[in-house]
Amino acid sequence: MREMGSRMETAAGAGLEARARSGVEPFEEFYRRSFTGMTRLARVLVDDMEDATEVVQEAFARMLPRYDRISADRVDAYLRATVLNGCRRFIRREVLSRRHRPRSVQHAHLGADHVLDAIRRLPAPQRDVVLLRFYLDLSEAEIAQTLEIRPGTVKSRLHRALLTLREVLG
Amino acid sequence: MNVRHEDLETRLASAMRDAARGGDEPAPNWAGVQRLAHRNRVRRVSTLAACSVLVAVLATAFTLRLGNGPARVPEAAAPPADATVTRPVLEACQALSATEFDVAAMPNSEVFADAKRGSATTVARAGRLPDVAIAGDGLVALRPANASVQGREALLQSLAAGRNWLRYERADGSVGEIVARGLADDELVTLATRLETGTGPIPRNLVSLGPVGPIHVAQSACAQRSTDPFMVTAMSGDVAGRLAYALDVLTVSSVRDEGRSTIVTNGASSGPPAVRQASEAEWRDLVAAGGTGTITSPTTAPR
Repeated sequence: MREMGSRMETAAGAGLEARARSGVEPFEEFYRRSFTGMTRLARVLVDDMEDATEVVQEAFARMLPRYDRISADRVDAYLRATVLNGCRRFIRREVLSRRHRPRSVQHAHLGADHVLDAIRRLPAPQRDVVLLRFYLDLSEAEIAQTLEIRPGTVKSRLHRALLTLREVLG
Repeated sequence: MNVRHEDLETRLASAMRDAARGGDEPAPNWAGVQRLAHRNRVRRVSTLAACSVLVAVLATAFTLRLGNGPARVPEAAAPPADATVTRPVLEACQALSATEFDVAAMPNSEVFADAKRGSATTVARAGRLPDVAIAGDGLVALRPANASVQGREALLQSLAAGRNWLRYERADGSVGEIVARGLADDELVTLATRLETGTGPIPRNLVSLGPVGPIHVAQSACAQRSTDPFMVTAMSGDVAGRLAYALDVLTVSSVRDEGRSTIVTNGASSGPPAVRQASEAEWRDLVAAGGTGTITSPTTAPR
């Protein structure tokens, strides 16, 4: 039975192995290559490095079982989208939890990151576009692929976000 | 509107890069990702199992016409009894992808009921070579007579070392194991001693249900993954004119099951069985129908 189990284990991992054999980067290597960049990306949105790490780890864990089904030219975009979605979930949880606990004002931080605060206060769709455009320097086409929206939508979201930011930061 | 376009973009990029790089950056934790992925999978299976249980409960309640309203289902349309009692772990098992399982057929098998343990245990043994026996509350693999290790002595050594398993090499070079769970040491040793010869009597508490056709044994692929806390072993075969389906599940934290799940159906022998726990009466019938013969052991009737 153990042997049979070993055969099945092999079968279960056959997708990933086949992917590795066909020259596609194994998931572990993909993880080690992308981890730091994605942690920094998440850090911009969730502020705390520990929280950012948690979001990114969860994103990789969600991606792991699907990795062999994602085409090679889409894995980076898929990962970025997964991380952004994870950040969004995290922020939503944080907002909800803050409603149920007393707010503590940390005066030392007031105004220190007002540009960042303005970005974080943008609606999530606009915030994601700003982040991908100005932090990751992605083209509009790459942003459209990551968020699975049309390039025209990217332009309009970016335009509206910049208008808002100009007003806030002006 | 007094911020110029380029200035604003520069400020945005700069603020985000500063925020991204502040503080100590953690190192990648690959093991952590694997743990999380496993946890997600277990949660998914648990959720599916919980949903299945809920559906089964609702179906049962509807069938039993709980509540004060008039019965809406005529007697003739009531679902068969097999569908009314389901086991969460079996639902979880069925919810698993087909790729999670591998199925092997054991020809010339013989099935035993453990009278001492009541209705919850079945032991199946490959008849031609006493190589594998599956107990509902444990997996017992026994070496063939021409294996290179003396099974009983090796098993005794293994038990003395505090282990409940024994790995051994078969004559063809493949590796087998004896794994005991829920069996007392002396029972296991007795079983190993008697079955390894292929001629000796088996313990008196094991009642032969007679020879059966090929038994299909399935084991979940996750059984060998060290990160997965559970394994599912299932077997099915034609036993005494019925389709028997035994399922053994090792710890699934959120799906309560003690193992030792023996399910017998009266249905057709094709397709997924409509499964349920055998009733005591059915099990007694099954035991009574057995004991008619054996392939490998001359004394399998109750003594």
